[in-house]
Formats: sequence, structure tokens, C-alpha cells
Amino acid sequence: MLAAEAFPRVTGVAQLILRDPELARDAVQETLIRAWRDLRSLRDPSRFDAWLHRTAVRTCLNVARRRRHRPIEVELSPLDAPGVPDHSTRIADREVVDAALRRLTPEGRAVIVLHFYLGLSLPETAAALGVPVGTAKSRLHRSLATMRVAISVDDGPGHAPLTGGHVA
Amino acid sequence: MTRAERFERDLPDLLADLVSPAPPEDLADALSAMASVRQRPAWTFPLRWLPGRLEISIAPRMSWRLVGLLAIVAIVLAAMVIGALLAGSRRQLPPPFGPAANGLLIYDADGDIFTADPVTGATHRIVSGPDIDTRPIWSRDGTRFVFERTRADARPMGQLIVAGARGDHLVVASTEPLLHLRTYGFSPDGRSVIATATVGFTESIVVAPSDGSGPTRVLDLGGNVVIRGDLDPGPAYRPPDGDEILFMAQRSDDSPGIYAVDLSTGDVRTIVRPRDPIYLFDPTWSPDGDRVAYGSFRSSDNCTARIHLIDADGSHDRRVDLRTDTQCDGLGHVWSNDGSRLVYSRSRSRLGDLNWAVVPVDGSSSGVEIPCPLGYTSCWSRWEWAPNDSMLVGVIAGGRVVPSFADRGALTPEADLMVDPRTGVATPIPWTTTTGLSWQRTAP
Repeated sequence: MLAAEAFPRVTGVAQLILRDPELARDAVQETLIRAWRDLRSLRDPSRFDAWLHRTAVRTCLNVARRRRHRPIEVELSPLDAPGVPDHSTRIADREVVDAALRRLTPEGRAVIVLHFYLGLSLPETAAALGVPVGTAKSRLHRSLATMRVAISVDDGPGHAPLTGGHVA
Repeated sequence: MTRAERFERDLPDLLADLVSPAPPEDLADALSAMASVRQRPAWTFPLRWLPGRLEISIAPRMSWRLVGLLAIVAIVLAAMVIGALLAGSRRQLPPPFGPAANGLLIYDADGDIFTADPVTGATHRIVSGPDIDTRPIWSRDGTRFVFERTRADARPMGQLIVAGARGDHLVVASTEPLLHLRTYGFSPDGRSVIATATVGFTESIVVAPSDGSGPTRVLDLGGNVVIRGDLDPGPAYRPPDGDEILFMAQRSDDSPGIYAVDLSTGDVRTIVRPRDPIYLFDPTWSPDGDRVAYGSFRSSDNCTARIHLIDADGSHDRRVDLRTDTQCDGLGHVWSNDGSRLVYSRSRSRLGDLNWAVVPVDGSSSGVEIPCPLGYTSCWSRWEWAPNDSMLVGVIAGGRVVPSFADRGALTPEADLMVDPRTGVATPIPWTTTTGLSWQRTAP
């Protein structure tokens, strides 16, 4: 039951950090297995989510390090995502965000994902990454700056469609 | 609002938009994989059973380069520690020549082999049995000794036996009994034992592997060469490599001369030529192998023995003893381990009135006189230097001149002495030997 509930969130974290569908599937499976194996290390059940997020992020970073030199494939998601009011703008933004994320290192994407996607505070983000709060803060600042630059570049008239890339 | 600002505000939603729903079969696969994994018991997690709530401070993570550097340093330190432990556990050996630390004395008595601690005086019988075991001599590294074994009903046939320092692991080095074994000793590397013995009808030099692995062979010195006198037991091999053997021999009708044979080529070279009617005796290498000490005397005189020093190439022959009031000197000489002094017997008046002297070989003084103990009319001894040259130990044979070490085997010793070579003060030692002593060399 816990696994089924956690599965979508862990999948999202893995997809955003790894930007590779196959690696993300591997990372999700590895995260759930680790969580199941080490579940009894959790003393406070109310901290399950934070504990799971930390496990997921660390697993993703390990997977990324193991596959750092492997070219990744880009799986184009269906463009007709439900509930999107302004279809064309939304598609454009998605591509821009995707391009900006790819400019980051896995560690940079992890801090963005934890803070903006999972909504963790900076101390929680730092704890999940296993780094001091100051490090998490500077890493978040640097990652956002990189993404802003990427978005400014793409803010001009038109931008090339993304067809692939490499993990930074 | 710029696009970038709008982007940051909308970033959470934009990120959510990038996520594709995972197909249900991925969850099924994950659940299946989870089912094959056992959960770790709670007690294996320290944070579960440590009391209280632990606040773990997060230390700055070390770079892999630093970790690698620390690992290399740790490996080097571990290797040094292991090396030191191995070196400490492995017994250090003394050099084959030059001063060394003092070990045990070894001697024979009543047909058995004993060791004596020169400090405590404690003695131990380490080789015993019905056979007659005599004249033990330590190897140059002090790990083994060689002695002669004869059966009471088989004399004068004897065998060379090599034993470990505790009298264990006895090996017959000479593969067949040897007739009239005289002097013997180890090669510098301890691999072989050299001796003089009668082979056929002539005195010969024989060499045997010290581990008994090969036959005893007679050293080929060319034709018409008859060994005369004794080999130096301390040793006959030229220091430091042992590439030559020093010996005294007689060719044809000449009187004996002093020669060296090259063990690799078999070439024999002359160091001191025969000087009829001068009789030569007891050639010995200096510990550095650069000089040879030997004695000479006129056979027609009462006692005109003199000790000489000559360079190893046969040049620069000179007398050692500076005293002019002696008639006889140089009998039974033995080099100190540092090569600076010789101990020998000398007489001021006539044959049979012998004392001892420790004499520097550089001619700087006439040396230290060691008087013959009260009650002895004449003293002769084969001396043995302590490996560190601090003491001399010897067996007195009183009342008779013995011109060679081996002949003393027929005498009954009357006293054993320890002598300080700097002062000449002699102290009786509490054990009685039959044919002499050998002092074990150990690592400094």
C-alpha cells in the first residue's frame, strides 16, 4: 500500500532528476526496494515521506553517477496533457523547462526537484541531500541562475526543438 | 513580468508537467522485486536502539581525490608497519667478518657438546650420545656449528656433523668418514665446510656441502702438492667473499710455502715462498682479507719463531712484534675481529717459557702482556676473541709447547681463562673444556 502511494511521487522525482526514462524506471525500482529493505530503520512513521524522498534522491544521484558517461535518450512525452488551459504556451514552457533542466548537473536538478517539485523547505532539502543548509542554499541559487540564463536565451524569437542530449 | 520571472513562479507546475505517469506494469515490476527482498531486522540499525534522539550534524563531504590520497597514505603506513613487524620477527644475522655481538660459547667435554653463557656461566649439554663429539666451531652467522664425530671403535676415522644452534637438526656433512681430520670451518656463506684430512696417503683439503646434499670432494691443487700445517679455522676462506682458500703446502722437495687457491678457477698463487731452512706456519687472513699473518722459525734453533704480516698479494712482508728482548713470538696467533690486534704466545728467554701478548698490528706499541698464571711453568693457548673484541677466552695447556692447534687435542687442559685484552687481567671460567672454545657471533 505504501509503495503504491509513493510510486507516482518517486517516479516524478526520478524522471526530473535523471531526465532519462530507462534510468528513471531503474531508480524507482531501486528506491522502492531500498525503502522496503530498510523500512525498519524508520523510527517515526510520520517522517516516512521525508525519509522516502531522501532515499529516492540519493538513489537517483547514485544511478546518475553510475551512468554519467552514457548518452541518454529523450522520450518525448505526449503533448496533450490533460487540464492545461493554454495549450500552446504550456508546450513551449515545458520545452524551455526541459532544456533548462538539462543544463544542470544531477545534483543541481535534485535541489530544484526537492524544493520546487516536492515543496521541501531548505533545511529539509539539505537533509534529503545530506549537505549543510548553506550548501543546499547556494546550490539552489546556482541552479536557478543557470536555468534563468537558459530561459533568457530561449526568450527570443523562437527556439529550436529539443531532440536529445547528454547528462551534464 | 519577464518570461524568466513567470517561469520561476510557475516552476512547480512546470516541473509537474514534465513528469509522465508511469505505466502500471512498472509498479507491478517494482512490487515483484520488493517481494524477493527480505527486510533488515530493526536491531541492525544503530539509530533504532541507541537511546534518545540523535541529531546528526552533517560534515562537509570529502572529495574523492582527498579520500584516495588518504587511502594511499593509509596503505603506505600499513605497509611500513607490516614491514617493521616482519623485520622484527625475522632474526638479524651478523656479518661474516668484523665485530659482532657476543653469543654463546660452545665447547666439548666428555665426548659431548655444550654451550655456556659467558655472562651467567650457565652451561647446557646440547649434543650427547655414545659417539665422541669434539671441537665444535660456530658458523660465521652463528646459526649452526660443525663438530667432529668419531666412534670409539673407529678412530681415527671421523665425520663432520653440522647442527643447529640448539644442537638440533644434525646433518652429516661429510658423506664418508675422513681420516685424521685436523682443522675445519664454515665458508663465509655457511654453505660448505672445509677441512684438512688424509686422503689416500696425503694431507688434502676437502670441501663438503654443509647440508649434506652432495659428496665430499678433494680440492684440486695441482700435482705434487702436499698440504702441510693447518687451515685457519677462523676461516681459511679469504674475507669478505671467500673466493680464495689460504693454505700451507709443500711442493716436491721444497720446504712448505704459503699459497692461496682461487675457488672459481683453481689457480694457485704464492703468497710466501719457501725459505729453507726457515719453517713457515699458521697463515691466517686478516678480517678484511687484505693481509696475511704467519709465523716462521729456524728449525735448527731453540726458539726463534717470529710473527710476520704480509699483504695479500705477497708484498710488504714485515714483523709484527717490536720487542727486542724476546726470542720467540707469534705462536698460535689469532686476529681480533676488528683486525687491529693479534693475540699470541711469546717467550723472552727460551722455549718452554711462554707468556701471552695482545699486540697491535700497526706497530704502535709492543702490546699488553698477559702473564702465565701462577703455578704454570709455561703457557700456551688457542685463544678465541669475543665477537665484540671485549674479551679473550682460552684453554691453557701448561708445561709443554704445542706448535699447532690440532695437536692440543692430545693434551689435558689444566685451566680455562677469560682475559681482558686491554689490561691482561685473567679470570678463571667455571667450566672445563676438552679441546677448545668457539664464540657465537650474533647481530649487533
